[in-house]
Amino acid sequence: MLLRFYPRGYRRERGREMVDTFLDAGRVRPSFREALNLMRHGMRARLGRPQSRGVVVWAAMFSAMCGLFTASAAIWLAWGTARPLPDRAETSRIVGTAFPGRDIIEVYRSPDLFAIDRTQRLSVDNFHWLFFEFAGEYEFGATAVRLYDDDPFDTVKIMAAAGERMRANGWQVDVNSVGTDQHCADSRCDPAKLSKDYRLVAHRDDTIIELKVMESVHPALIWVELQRATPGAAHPAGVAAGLLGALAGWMVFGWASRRTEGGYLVVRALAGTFFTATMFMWGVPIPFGLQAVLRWQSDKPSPRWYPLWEWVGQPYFGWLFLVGCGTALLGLASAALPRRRAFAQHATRVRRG
Amino acid sequence: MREATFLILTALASGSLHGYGIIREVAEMSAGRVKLLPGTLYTALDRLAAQGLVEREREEVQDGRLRRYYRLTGDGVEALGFETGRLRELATAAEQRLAAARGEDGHPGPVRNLKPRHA
Repeated sequence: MLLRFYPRGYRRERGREMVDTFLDAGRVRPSFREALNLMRHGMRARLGRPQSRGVVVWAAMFSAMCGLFTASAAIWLAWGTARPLPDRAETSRIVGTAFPGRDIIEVYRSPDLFAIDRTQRLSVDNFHWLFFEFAGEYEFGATAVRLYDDDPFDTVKIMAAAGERMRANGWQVDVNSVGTDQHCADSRCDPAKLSKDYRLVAHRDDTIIELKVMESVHPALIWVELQRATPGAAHPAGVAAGLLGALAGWMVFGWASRRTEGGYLVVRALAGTFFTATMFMWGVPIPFGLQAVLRWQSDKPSPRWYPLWEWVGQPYFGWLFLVGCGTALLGLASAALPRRRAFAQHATRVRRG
Repeated sequence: MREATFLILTALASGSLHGYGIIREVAEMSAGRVKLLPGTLYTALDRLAAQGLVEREREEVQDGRLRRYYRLTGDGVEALGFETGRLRELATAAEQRLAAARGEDGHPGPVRNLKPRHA
């Protein structure tokens, strides 16, 4: 059973010899340590090229990327288990908790938990937008409300009172901050007089609320946004799909590596070029995604982290990902080309020792 | 060269051996300190064969069990000789410095009071 970690050709060639080595050692069943050792070396044998250490590094990188992408896809699917965005009735109840007595005049609700530019539900008709003009606009949807006052109000007092009321009603206040995105141009400017942004973020169960007052826009306008927290199914789904994707990536890489081992030079060059291109297309967006998410998370802290696809630079770099998928398929097609008989025989002989 | 690789080559230096024979020989040479697991052994044999240091000599079935015998190639003998020489030089250098440290050459040495770390 444990020999299944080795590729089929290897098992055919070495399986009986390995089993008999265990039997010679008086072991009918491998110990836990021996089992782990067989698993580890079986996975290594799947990569072929016994002399190469670099192949392990490349396989690990490819496998990690496959794992990240499959985990992202699974998390996206798991978001389907989240409740829809709050409707008008739920919004009125929640806003009434924070600001009792205020009438809600206008409620804007995104069509889905994630939407393109917050206004377009992702569908077959607009899916291609993700790879072109609206790649960066696929984001969390929200139910948004604006509350007006005729006269400027004491924002500090209003936000503090809202926070207290929310706490009293079982909400956990995660952020209550005051800042400004303006800067003094010269020494005559008083920093204390710059327009301020007030922000309060709280969550209860699967609902997140954000209250904002931006003095530079309107000193008596409260922006309220309601969103859903990451559903509980997202984490196990992401981990399971990530592990499966990484395993599949390792197997596919191993297959291509064994197929091209000792093959025609042109085939190896083709497969190598397509593989390098794939790693580039898939890998380049990751540092950009990481940097962007960390900046957003630091600028606007929230009890909910950005979804994994944003961390790997998607869908902003969706077109690069798509091209990478194309080069990966071309690389696999190159690896599937017939092997030179002499090389194939040589490879088998070498493996046999 | 890793210690396990060196020991596998050394085990094969005195003649061809099958898988379990190599495991036994390595354990004996290292006084039981190095216990090769089959997964490690066959990965190492694959690598050594790909490097042209080891080759398969013959195979036979004894008591219904398949035994493949491996032996050193000419390159394998050369590689083992080179590594042995390298290790000997290092061991000699270490012995000379230890002798000086213990004062066996008449000098008290700078580290007389050092205790072995794993005493």
